[in-house]
Amino acid sequence: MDNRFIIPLVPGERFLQRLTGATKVRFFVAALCVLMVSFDLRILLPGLVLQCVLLVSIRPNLRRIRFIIIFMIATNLINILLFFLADPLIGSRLAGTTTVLFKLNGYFQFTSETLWYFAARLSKIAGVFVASLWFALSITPSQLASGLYSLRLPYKLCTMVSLGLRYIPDILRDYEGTKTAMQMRGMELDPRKTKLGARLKQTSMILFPLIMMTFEKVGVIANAMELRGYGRGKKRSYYCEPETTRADIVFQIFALAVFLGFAAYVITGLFIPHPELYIPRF
Amino acid sequence: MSEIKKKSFGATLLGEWNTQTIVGVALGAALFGVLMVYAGIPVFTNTKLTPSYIVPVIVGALFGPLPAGLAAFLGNVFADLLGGWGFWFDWSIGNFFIGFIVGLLPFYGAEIKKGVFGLKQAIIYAVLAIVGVAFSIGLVTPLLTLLFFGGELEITYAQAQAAVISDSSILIVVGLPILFALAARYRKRQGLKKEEN
Repeated sequence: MDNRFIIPLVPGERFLQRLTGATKVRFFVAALCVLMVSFDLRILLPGLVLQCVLLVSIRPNLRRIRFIIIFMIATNLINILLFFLADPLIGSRLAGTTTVLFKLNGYFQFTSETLWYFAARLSKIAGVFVASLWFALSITPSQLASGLYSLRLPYKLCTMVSLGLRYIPDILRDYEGTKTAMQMRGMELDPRKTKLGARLKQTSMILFPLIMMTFEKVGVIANAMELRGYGRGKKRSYYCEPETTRADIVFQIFALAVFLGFAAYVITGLFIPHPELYIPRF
Repeated sequence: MSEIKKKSFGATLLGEWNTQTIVGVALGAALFGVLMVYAGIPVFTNTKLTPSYIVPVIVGALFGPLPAGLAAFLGNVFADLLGGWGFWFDWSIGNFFIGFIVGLLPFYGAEIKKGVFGLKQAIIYAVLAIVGVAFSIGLVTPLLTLLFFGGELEITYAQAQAAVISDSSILIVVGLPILFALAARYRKRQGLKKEEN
Protein backbone atom coordinates (compact mmCIF):
# COMPACT_ATOMS: atom_id res chain seq x y z
CA MET A 1 0.00 0.00 0.00
CA ASP A 2 2.81 2.39 0.89
CA ASN A 3 4.37 1.58 -2.45
CA ARG A 4 1.48 3.25 -4.16
CA PHE A 5 2.31 6.62 -2.62
CA ILE A 6 4.48 7.82 -5.48
CA ILE A 7 5.32 11.36 -4.39
CA PRO A 8 8.94 11.49 -3.19
CA LEU A 9 9.62 13.12 0.16
CA VAL A 10 13.29 13.80 -0.58
CA PRO A 11 14.45 15.38 -3.84
CA GLY A 12 16.05 12.99 -6.34
CA GLU A 13 19.16 13.64 -8.36
CA ARG A 14 17.95 13.44 -11.96
CA PHE A 15 17.99 16.59 -14.05
CA LEU A 16 14.27 17.25 -13.78
CA GLN A 17 14.24 16.61 -10.05
CA ARG A 18 17.03 19.11 -9.47
CA LEU A 19 15.11 21.98 -11.05
CA THR A 20 13.47 24.42 -8.65
CA GLY A 21 9.86 23.97 -7.59
CA ALA A 22 8.90 27.19 -9.34
CA THR A 23 10.19 25.93 -12.69
CA LYS A 24 8.46 22.59 -12.44
CA VAL A 25 5.12 24.07 -11.37
CA ARG A 26 5.17 26.66 -14.16
CA PHE A 27 6.13 24.14 -16.79
CA PHE A 28 3.48 21.71 -15.61
CA VAL A 29 0.72 24.34 -15.53
CA ALA A 30 1.57 25.49 -19.06
CA ALA A 31 1.62 21.92 -20.38
CA LEU A 32 -1.65 21.10 -18.65
CA CYS A 33 -3.40 24.18 -20.07
CA VAL A 34 -2.48 23.24 -23.62
CA LEU A 35 -3.38 19.58 -23.22
CA MET A 36 -6.70 20.35 -21.52
CA VAL A 37 -8.07 22.88 -23.98
CA SER A 38 -6.85 21.85 -27.41
CA PHE A 39 -8.48 19.04 -29.34
CA ASP A 40 -6.09 19.22 -32.25
CA LEU A 41 -3.96 16.17 -32.94
CA ARG A 42 -1.21 18.39 -34.40
CA ILE A 43 -0.75 19.94 -30.95
CA LEU A 44 -1.62 16.95 -28.79
CA LEU A 45 0.76 14.45 -30.36
CA PRO A 46 3.97 16.50 -29.99
CA GLY A 47 2.79 17.38 -26.46
CA LEU A 48 2.39 13.71 -25.63
CA VAL A 49 5.83 12.88 -27.02
CA LEU A 50 7.43 15.70 -25.01
CA GLN A 51 5.73 14.52 -21.81
CA CYS A 52 6.91 10.96 -22.45
CA VAL A 53 10.48 12.17 -22.97
CA LEU A 54 10.31 14.04 -19.66
CA LEU A 55 8.93 10.98 -17.88
CA VAL A 56 11.63 8.72 -19.27
CA SER A 57 14.31 11.29 -18.41
CA ILE A 58 13.74 10.81 -14.66
CA ARG A 59 14.10 7.05 -15.15
CA PRO A 60 11.18 6.11 -12.87
CA ASN A 61 11.16 2.91 -10.87
CA LEU A 62 9.00 0.81 -13.19
CA ARG A 63 7.81 -1.56 -10.53
CA ARG A 64 6.29 1.34 -8.61
CA ILE A 65 4.30 2.83 -11.46
CA ARG A 66 3.50 -0.34 -13.40
CA PHE A 67 0.19 -0.86 -11.64
CA ILE A 68 -0.93 2.72 -12.25
CA ILE A 69 -0.08 2.54 -15.94
CA ILE A 70 -1.92 -0.75 -16.47
CA PHE A 71 -4.93 0.56 -14.58
CA MET A 72 -4.92 3.72 -16.66
CA ILE A 73 -4.72 1.91 -20.00
CA ALA A 74 -7.51 -0.49 -19.03
CA THR A 75 -9.87 2.26 -17.82
CA ASN A 76 -9.38 4.32 -20.93
CA LEU A 77 -9.89 1.44 -23.32
CA ILE A 78 -13.14 0.62 -21.53
CA ASN A 79 -14.12 4.27 -21.69
CA ILE A 80 -13.44 4.47 -25.43
CA LEU A 81 -15.48 1.31 -25.95
CA LEU A 82 -18.37 2.82 -23.96
CA PHE A 83 -18.13 5.96 -26.08
CA PHE A 84 -18.29 3.96 -29.24
CA LEU A 85 -21.26 1.93 -28.02
CA ALA A 86 -23.08 5.08 -26.93
CA ASP A 87 -22.56 6.96 -30.18
CA PRO A 88 -20.58 5.40 -33.06
CA LEU A 89 -20.90 8.58 -35.12
CA ILE A 90 -19.53 10.93 -32.44
CA GLY A 91 -16.59 12.07 -34.57
CA SER A 92 -18.76 12.77 -37.59
CA ARG A 93 -21.09 14.89 -35.48
CA LEU A 94 -18.17 17.00 -34.27
CA ALA A 95 -16.48 17.31 -37.63
CA GLY A 96 -19.64 17.77 -39.67
CA THR A 97 -18.61 15.29 -42.34
CA THR A 98 -18.98 11.54 -42.61
CA THR A 99 -16.56 9.19 -44.30
CA VAL A 100 -17.66 5.63 -43.71
CA LEU A 101 -14.77 3.15 -43.68
CA PHE A 102 -16.90 0.05 -43.15
CA LYS A 103 -20.26 -0.85 -41.64
CA LEU A 104 -21.23 -3.63 -39.28
CA ASN A 105 -24.90 -2.73 -39.52
CA GLY A 106 -26.98 0.44 -39.61
CA TYR A 107 -25.90 1.50 -36.13
CA PHE A 108 -22.27 0.41 -35.83
CA GLN A 109 -20.40 2.29 -38.51
CA PHE A 110 -16.69 2.93 -38.41
CA THR A 111 -16.08 6.39 -39.78
CA SER A 112 -12.65 7.92 -40.18
CA GLU A 113 -13.82 10.99 -38.22
CA THR A 114 -14.63 8.85 -35.21
CA LEU A 115 -11.23 7.18 -35.41
CA TRP A 116 -9.52 10.59 -35.52
CA TYR A 117 -11.65 11.71 -32.59
CA PHE A 118 -10.60 8.68 -30.55
CA ALA A 119 -6.95 9.22 -31.50
CA ALA A 120 -7.14 12.84 -30.34
CA ARG A 121 -8.94 11.89 -27.15
CA LEU A 122 -6.52 9.10 -26.30
CA SER A 123 -3.45 11.24 -26.88
CA LYS A 124 -5.00 14.03 -24.83
CA ILE A 125 -5.75 11.79 -21.86
CA ALA A 126 -2.41 10.02 -22.17
CA GLY A 127 -0.66 13.39 -22.30
CA VAL A 128 -2.37 14.66 -19.15
CA PHE A 129 -1.66 11.34 -17.44
CA VAL A 130 2.04 11.21 -18.36
CA ALA A 131 2.45 14.87 -17.41
CA SER A 132 0.96 14.34 -13.97
CA LEU A 133 3.10 11.24 -13.55
CA TRP A 134 6.45 12.96 -14.15
CA PHE A 135 5.28 15.92 -12.11
CA ALA A 136 4.30 13.72 -9.17
CA LEU A 137 7.52 11.71 -9.40
CA SER A 138 9.84 14.69 -9.55
CA ILE A 139 8.49 17.13 -6.99
CA THR A 140 8.50 17.01 -3.20
CA PRO A 141 5.62 18.50 -1.19
CA SER A 142 7.78 21.42 -0.03
CA GLN A 143 8.93 22.16 -3.56
CA LEU A 144 5.32 22.08 -4.70
CA ALA A 145 4.43 24.62 -1.99
CA SER A 146 7.29 26.92 -2.93
CA GLY A 147 6.40 26.56 -6.61
CA LEU A 148 2.79 27.51 -5.97
CA TYR A 149 3.95 30.41 -3.82
CA SER A 150 6.06 31.64 -6.72
CA LEU A 151 2.80 31.92 -8.71
CA ARG A 152 1.71 34.50 -6.10
CA LEU A 153 -0.78 32.23 -4.38
CA PRO A 154 -1.27 33.06 -0.67
CA TYR A 155 1.25 31.07 1.32
CA LYS A 156 -1.38 29.70 3.67
CA LEU A 157 -2.86 27.86 0.71
CA CYS A 158 0.59 26.51 -0.17
CA THR A 159 1.01 25.26 3.37
CA MET A 160 -2.27 23.38 3.07
CA VAL A 161 -0.98 21.57 -0.01
CA SER A 162 2.39 20.56 1.39
CA LEU A 163 1.08 19.72 4.85
CA GLY A 164 -1.75 17.66 3.40
CA LEU A 165 0.57 15.71 1.10
CA ARG A 166 3.02 15.05 3.90
CA TYR A 167 0.25 13.83 6.15
CA ILE A 168 -1.11 11.25 3.69
CA PRO A 169 1.31 8.44 4.72
CA ASP A 170 0.23 8.91 8.36
CA ILE A 171 -3.41 8.60 7.41
CA LEU A 172 -2.68 5.51 5.34
CA ARG A 173 -1.04 3.98 8.40
CA ASP A 174 -3.96 4.91 10.67
CA TYR A 175 -6.43 3.58 8.11
CA GLU A 176 -4.63 0.24 7.85
CA GLY A 177 -4.40 0.05 11.64
CA THR A 178 -8.10 0.73 12.14
CA LYS A 179 -9.01 -1.82 9.51
CA THR A 180 -6.79 -4.48 11.07
CA ALA A 181 -8.19 -3.75 14.52
CA MET A 182 -11.74 -4.09 13.21
CA GLN A 183 -10.85 -7.37 11.49
CA MET A 184 -9.39 -8.67 14.74
CA ARG A 185 -12.74 -8.01 16.38
CA GLY A 186 -14.34 -10.26 13.80
CA MET A 187 -15.52 -7.82 11.13
CA GLU A 188 -15.76 -9.49 7.72
CA LEU A 189 -14.24 -7.16 5.13
CA ASP A 190 -14.12 -9.54 2.18
CA PRO A 191 -16.34 -7.93 -0.48
CA ARG A 192 -17.49 -11.31 -1.74
CA LYS A 193 -18.90 -12.36 1.60
CA THR A 194 -20.72 -9.20 2.62
CA LYS A 195 -23.67 -7.36 1.13
CA LEU A 196 -23.69 -3.71 0.13
CA GLY A 197 -25.70 -2.57 3.15
CA ALA A 198 -23.39 -4.36 5.55
CA ARG A 199 -20.37 -2.87 3.82
CA LEU A 200 -21.77 0.64 4.21
CA LYS A 201 -22.21 0.04 7.93
CA GLN A 202 -18.67 -1.31 8.22
CA THR A 203 -17.33 1.67 6.32
CA SER A 204 -18.84 4.05 8.82
CA MET A 205 -17.47 1.96 11.68
CA ILE A 206 -13.96 2.37 10.28
CA LEU A 207 -14.59 5.99 9.39
CA PHE A 208 -15.54 7.25 12.81
CA PRO A 209 -12.29 6.43 14.64
CA LEU A 210 -10.28 7.59 11.61
CA ILE A 211 -12.03 10.96 11.56
CA MET A 212 -11.63 11.40 15.31
CA MET A 213 -7.94 10.46 15.15
CA THR A 214 -7.31 12.91 12.33
CA PHE A 215 -9.18 15.92 13.64
CA GLU A 216 -7.84 15.52 17.15
CA LYS A 217 -4.35 15.99 15.75
CA VAL A 218 -5.34 19.33 14.21
CA GLY A 219 -4.94 21.14 17.52
CA VAL A 220 -1.58 19.53 18.25
CA ILE A 221 -0.11 20.34 14.84
CA ALA A 222 -1.53 23.89 14.83
CA ASN A 223 -0.02 24.58 18.26
CA ALA A 224 3.35 23.21 17.17
CA MET A 225 3.30 25.45 14.10
CA GLU A 226 2.29 28.53 16.04
CA LEU A 227 5.01 27.91 18.60
CA ARG A 228 7.50 28.06 15.75
CA GLY A 229 6.10 31.39 14.65
CA TYR A 230 3.96 30.23 11.73
CA GLY A 231 1.59 32.82 10.32
CA ARG A 232 3.29 35.88 11.82
CA GLY A 233 4.74 37.38 8.67
CA LYS A 234 3.02 38.43 5.49
CA LYS A 235 5.57 36.69 3.30
CA ARG A 236 7.37 33.43 3.48
CA SER A 237 10.56 32.02 2.07
CA TYR A 238 11.23 28.37 1.45
CA TYR A 239 14.17 26.53 2.92
CA CYS A 240 13.92 23.74 0.36
CA GLU A 241 14.35 25.96 -2.68
CA PRO A 242 17.69 25.45 -4.46
CA GLU A 243 19.42 28.22 -6.39
CA THR A 244 17.97 29.10 -9.78
CA THR A 245 20.31 27.74 -12.46
CA ARG A 246 20.55 28.43 -16.17
CA ALA A 247 18.52 25.29 -16.91
CA ASP A 248 15.72 26.72 -14.76
CA ILE A 249 15.66 29.93 -16.73
CA VAL A 250 15.59 28.05 -20.05
CA PHE A 251 12.71 25.89 -18.85
CA GLN A 252 10.80 28.87 -17.49
CA ILE A 253 11.12 30.75 -20.78
CA PHE A 254 9.93 27.66 -22.63
CA ALA A 255 6.95 27.34 -20.25
CA LEU A 256 6.12 31.02 -20.75
CA ALA A 257 6.26 30.60 -24.53
CA VAL A 258 3.97 27.56 -24.36
CA PHE A 259 1.58 29.45 -22.12
CA LEU A 260 1.53 32.49 -24.41
CA GLY A 261 0.86 30.21 -27.36
CA PHE A 262 -2.02 28.68 -25.44
CA ALA A 263 -3.42 32.14 -24.58
CA ALA A 264 -3.16 33.22 -28.23
CA TYR A 265 -4.94 30.03 -29.31
CA VAL A 266 -7.80 30.63 -26.84
CA ILE A 267 -8.15 34.33 -27.67
CA THR A 268 -8.19 33.79 -31.43
CA GLY A 269 -10.69 30.98 -30.82
CA LEU A 270 -13.08 33.56 -29.34
CA PHE A 271 -13.24 35.46 -32.62
CA ILE A 272 -12.79 32.74 -35.23
CA PRO A 273 -13.91 29.46 -33.64
CA HIS A 274 -11.40 26.66 -34.14
CA PRO A 275 -12.82 23.53 -35.72
CA GLU A 276 -13.79 21.21 -32.89
CA LEU A 277 -11.88 18.35 -34.39
CA TYR A 278 -8.89 18.26 -36.72
CA ILE A 279 -9.33 15.91 -39.68
CA PRO A 280 -6.43 15.67 -42.16
CA ARG A 281 -7.45 15.86 -45.78
CA PHE A 282 -5.60 13.65 -48.17
CA MET B 1 -20.44 30.79 26.26
CA SER B 2 -21.94 34.25 26.52
CA GLU B 3 -18.61 36.02 26.38
CA ILE B 4 -17.87 34.64 22.93
CA LYS B 5 -18.94 37.21 20.36
CA LYS B 6 -21.46 36.08 17.80
CA LYS B 7 -19.57 35.79 14.56
CA SER B 8 -20.61 37.97 11.65
CA PHE B 9 -22.12 36.49 8.49
CA GLY B 10 -18.97 36.94 6.48
CA ALA B 11 -16.72 35.43 9.11
CA THR B 12 -18.96 32.37 9.30
CA LEU B 13 -18.92 32.01 5.52
CA LEU B 14 -15.20 32.39 4.99
CA GLY B 15 -14.03 30.78 8.18
CA GLU B 16 -11.25 32.21 10.28
CA TRP B 17 -7.93 31.88 8.54
CA ASN B 18 -5.82 30.98 11.54
CA THR B 19 -3.36 28.14 11.85
CA GLN B 20 -6.06 25.79 13.19
CA THR B 21 -8.13 26.20 10.03
CA ILE B 22 -5.14 25.72 7.76
CA VAL B 23 -4.13 22.51 9.48
CA GLY B 24 -7.75 21.38 9.55
CA VAL B 25 -8.14 21.86 5.81
CA ALA B 26 -4.79 20.18 5.08
CA LEU B 27 -5.57 17.12 7.20
CA GLY B 28 -9.14 17.01 5.91
CA ALA B 29 -7.90 17.08 2.32
CA ALA B 30 -5.41 14.29 3.03
CA LEU B 31 -8.17 12.20 4.62
CA PHE B 32 -10.50 12.93 1.70
CA GLY B 33 -7.87 11.78 -0.77
CA VAL B 34 -7.04 8.58 1.08
CA LEU B 35 -10.69 7.63 1.54
CA MET B 36 -11.46 8.36 -2.09
CA VAL B 37 -8.68 6.11 -3.35
CA TYR B 38 -8.66 3.26 -0.87
CA ALA B 39 -12.07 3.07 0.78
CA GLY B 40 -14.39 3.19 -2.23
CA ILE B 41 -16.89 0.61 -3.38
CA PRO B 42 -16.92 0.74 -7.22
CA VAL B 43 -20.29 1.47 -8.87
CA PHE B 44 -19.57 2.71 -12.39
CA THR B 45 -16.48 3.56 -14.44
CA ASN B 46 -14.43 6.13 -12.52
CA THR B 47 -17.25 6.50 -10.01
CA LYS B 48 -17.18 4.94 -6.60
CA LEU B 49 -19.44 4.75 -3.60
CA THR B 50 -16.92 6.72 -1.60
CA PRO B 51 -17.21 7.70 2.05
CA SER B 52 -14.82 10.62 1.50
CA TYR B 53 -17.66 13.15 1.26
CA ILE B 54 -18.11 12.91 5.01
CA VAL B 55 -14.84 14.81 5.43
CA PRO B 56 -16.02 18.20 4.09
CA VAL B 57 -19.06 17.89 6.33
CA ILE B 58 -16.84 17.61 9.40
CA VAL B 59 -14.50 20.36 8.18
CA GLY B 60 -17.55 22.53 7.54
CA ALA B 61 -18.91 21.86 10.99
CA LEU B 62 -15.61 22.72 12.66
CA PHE B 63 -14.25 25.53 10.44
CA GLY B 64 -16.96 26.77 8.03
CA PRO B 65 -18.05 26.27 4.42
CA LEU B 66 -15.12 27.78 2.50
CA PRO B 67 -12.55 25.60 4.29
CA ALA B 68 -14.86 22.64 3.65
CA GLY B 69 -14.94 23.40 -0.06
CA LEU B 70 -11.18 23.82 -0.16
CA ALA B 71 -10.68 20.55 1.67
CA ALA B 72 -12.84 18.75 -0.89
CA PHE B 73 -11.06 20.41 -3.82
CA LEU B 74 -7.54 19.72 -2.53
CA GLY B 75 -8.64 16.26 -1.43
CA ASN B 76 -9.72 15.42 -4.95
CA VAL B 77 -6.43 16.73 -6.34
CA PHE B 78 -4.55 14.56 -3.81
CA ALA B 79 -6.70 11.59 -4.78
CA ASP B 80 -5.81 12.18 -8.43
CA LEU B 81 -2.14 12.22 -7.45
CA LEU B 82 -2.43 9.13 -5.25
CA GLY B 83 -4.55 7.14 -7.65
CA GLY B 84 -2.35 8.28 -10.53
CA TRP B 85 -5.18 8.60 -13.01
CA GLY B 86 -4.24 12.12 -14.11
CA PHE B 87 -5.80 15.39 -12.99
CA TRP B 88 -9.50 15.90 -13.54
CA PHE B 89 -10.10 19.48 -12.51
CA ASP B 90 -13.69 19.41 -13.73
CA TRP B 91 -14.47 16.94 -10.95
CA SER B 92 -12.27 18.70 -8.40
CA ILE B 93 -14.07 22.00 -8.94
CA GLY B 94 -17.42 20.21 -8.75
CA ASN B 95 -16.28 18.78 -5.44
CA PHE B 96 -15.40 22.27 -4.22
CA PHE B 97 -19.06 23.22 -4.59
CA ILE B 98 -20.22 20.04 -2.88
CA GLY B 99 -17.90 20.74 0.02
CA PHE B 100 -19.04 24.32 0.23
CA ILE B 101 -22.77 23.51 0.21
CA VAL B 102 -22.48 20.53 2.52
CA GLY B 103 -20.24 22.53 4.84
CA LEU B 104 -22.91 25.17 5.43
CA LEU B 105 -23.72 23.47 8.76
CA PRO B 106 -23.09 26.49 11.02
CA PHE B 107 -25.68 28.50 9.07
CA TYR B 108 -28.69 26.50 10.18
CA GLY B 109 -27.70 26.18 13.78
CA ALA B 110 -25.94 22.81 13.64
CA GLU B 111 -23.02 23.57 15.92
CA ILE B 112 -21.26 20.27 16.27
CA LYS B 113 -18.58 21.75 18.49
CA LYS B 114 -21.22 22.75 21.03
CA GLY B 115 -23.02 19.45 20.62
CA VAL B 116 -26.06 20.91 18.85
CA PHE B 117 -27.40 18.58 16.16
CA GLY B 118 -31.07 17.66 16.31
CA LEU B 119 -33.78 16.35 14.02
CA LYS B 120 -34.39 19.75 12.41
CA GLN B 121 -30.75 20.18 11.47
CA ALA B 122 -30.63 16.60 10.26
CA ILE B 123 -33.48 17.22 7.82
CA ILE B 124 -31.94 20.45 6.51
CA TYR B 125 -28.63 18.64 6.17
CA ALA B 126 -30.20 15.84 4.15
CA VAL B 127 -31.95 18.26 1.79
CA LEU B 128 -28.78 20.32 1.34
CA ALA B 129 -26.76 17.19 0.68
CA ILE B 130 -29.02 16.18 -2.21
CA VAL B 131 -29.29 19.73 -3.60
CA GLY B 132 -25.56 20.34 -3.29
CA VAL B 133 -24.53 17.11 -4.96
CA ALA B 134 -27.09 17.50 -7.72
CA PHE B 135 -26.01 21.08 -8.41
CA SER B 136 -22.29 20.36 -8.35
CA ILE B 137 -22.03 17.04 -10.14
CA GLY B 138 -25.17 17.39 -12.22
CA LEU B 139 -24.45 20.91 -13.45
CA VAL B 140 -21.00 22.32 -12.67
CA THR B 141 -18.92 19.27 -13.57
CA PRO B 142 -20.59 18.52 -16.94
CA LEU B 143 -20.23 22.18 -17.94
CA LEU B 144 -16.53 22.17 -17.06
CA THR B 145 -16.04 18.84 -18.81
CA LEU B 146 -17.56 20.33 -21.92
CA LEU B 147 -15.15 23.25 -21.62
CA PHE B 148 -12.01 21.17 -21.02
CA PHE B 149 -12.58 18.06 -23.07
CA GLY B 150 -15.34 18.94 -25.51
CA GLY B 151 -18.21 16.88 -26.82
CA GLU B 152 -18.34 14.00 -24.43
CA LEU B 153 -21.39 14.82 -22.41
CA GLU B 154 -23.02 11.39 -22.68
CA ILE B 155 -20.53 9.55 -20.54
CA THR B 156 -20.16 12.41 -18.10
CA TYR B 157 -23.91 12.55 -17.68
CA ALA B 158 -24.12 8.83 -17.10
CA GLN B 159 -21.26 9.08 -14.59
CA ALA B 160 -22.84 12.14 -13.04
CA GLN B 161 -26.17 10.44 -12.49
CA ALA B 162 -24.48 7.48 -10.84
CA ALA B 163 -22.37 9.86 -8.77
CA VAL B 164 -25.30 12.02 -7.67
CA ILE B 165 -27.22 9.01 -6.42
CA SER B 166 -24.28 7.29 -4.75
CA ASP B 167 -22.73 10.41 -3.22
CA SER B 168 -25.90 11.88 -1.79
CA SER B 169 -26.95 8.53 -0.37
CA ILE B 170 -23.52 8.12 1.25
CA LEU B 171 -23.76 11.63 2.65
CA ILE B 172 -27.08 10.80 4.27
CA VAL B 173 -26.71 7.14 5.22
CA VAL B 174 -23.17 7.36 6.58
CA GLY B 175 -23.05 11.09 7.33
CA LEU B 176 -26.03 11.44 9.63
CA PRO B 177 -24.99 8.78 12.18
CA ILE B 178 -21.48 10.23 12.26
CA LEU B 179 -22.78 13.76 12.80
CA PHE B 180 -25.05 12.59 15.65
CA ALA B 181 -22.17 10.67 17.20
CA LEU B 182 -19.78 13.61 16.88
CA ALA B 183 -22.31 16.01 18.40
CA ALA B 184 -22.86 13.61 21.29
CA ARG B 185 -19.12 13.34 21.78
CA TYR B 186 -18.66 17.10 21.91
CA ARG B 187 -21.71 17.49 24.14
CA LYS B 188 -20.02 15.37 26.78
CA ARG B 189 -17.16 17.85 26.91
CA GLN B 190 -19.42 20.82 27.52
CA GLY B 191 -18.56 23.03 30.44
CA LEU B 192 -14.86 23.01 29.65
CA LYS B 193 -13.65 26.39 28.52
CA LYS B 194 -10.45 27.37 26.80
CA GLU B 195 -8.76 30.11 28.76
CA GLU B 196 -7.56 33.08 26.78
CA ASN B 197 -4.07 33.83 28.05
